[in-house]
Amino acid sequence: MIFAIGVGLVWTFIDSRRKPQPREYKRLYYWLRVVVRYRAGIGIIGFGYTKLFPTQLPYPSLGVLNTDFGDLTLQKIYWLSIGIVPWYEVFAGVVEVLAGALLFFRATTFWGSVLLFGALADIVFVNFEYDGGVHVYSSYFVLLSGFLLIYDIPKVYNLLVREQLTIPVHYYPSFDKPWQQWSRVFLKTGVIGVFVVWFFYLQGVNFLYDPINNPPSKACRNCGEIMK
Amino acid sequence: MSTLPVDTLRPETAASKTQLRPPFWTAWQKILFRIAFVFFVSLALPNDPGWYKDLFSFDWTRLHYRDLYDIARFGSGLNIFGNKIFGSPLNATPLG
Repeated sequence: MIFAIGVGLVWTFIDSRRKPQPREYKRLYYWLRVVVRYRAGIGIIGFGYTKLFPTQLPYPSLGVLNTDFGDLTLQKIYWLSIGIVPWYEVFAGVVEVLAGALLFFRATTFWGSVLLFGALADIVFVNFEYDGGVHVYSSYFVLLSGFLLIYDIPKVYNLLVREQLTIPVHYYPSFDKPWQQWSRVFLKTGVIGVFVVWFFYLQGVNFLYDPINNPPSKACRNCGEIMK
Repeated sequence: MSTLPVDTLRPETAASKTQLRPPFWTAWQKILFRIAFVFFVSLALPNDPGWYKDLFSFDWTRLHYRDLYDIARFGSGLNIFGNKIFGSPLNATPLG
């Protein structure tokens, strides 16, 4: 943040020397929103699928059930109390995947970020309450979705609170040239194909057939095969 | 009557005009945007070389869910200044 303020002020200084001075950064703002949307979307889908196929918060093992309650860490207690209600976890997964998928489309970005903001703010509370271990990473999504919301908040305020006629004005860059259109379609379809469709398949295979659903690390991702 | 500006006679057109053409950004909006731009780019784009190494070293023909999970889930931000605030790292060991 300090670094960003520094660079931002230097940028301001450089701009003040430019002739003519830029009047706005609509195009850059658009691309910044694209970066943040896709970052948040991909990131939350990564988590969403581990909940949709309930592996992230597992059913308590025999060892855990034989542990004295006082010996369990707060994080463990919370995770296992979700783990015994797999359908609740599936629901949380649906919410996260849906939020992520909505962020991939400009027209639904607002709804995606509303959903992400609400869901992840809850996860932040839980993390601080039960020492869940992902305090920073869950807050990170709240920050990103909050940033995405800022764009639409004035319009929503104008419509719902001031009850004024509101015509939302969106800036979309024009993709005139064929290569621009092609790369847009290619990249967008690619991200959705890999992170929504393929990921769903991989996660499903893992959930159904791999004895170790949630490998503790990258190095252990084939431990299930070894166990067979 | 003829001296009145057109906008007063037809306020709805004046309103719709301002709606269609929002004013240019103010100076503080621009300063805020410049800071936000640097902040969110350094936060949202993967800036760890290991991330790109992973991306190209996966066996894409026999992909494991963990591969996609790991590239979807990464920490970014700037660590060149260290990751402590007033001597505290703020985050616990990452799990799951």
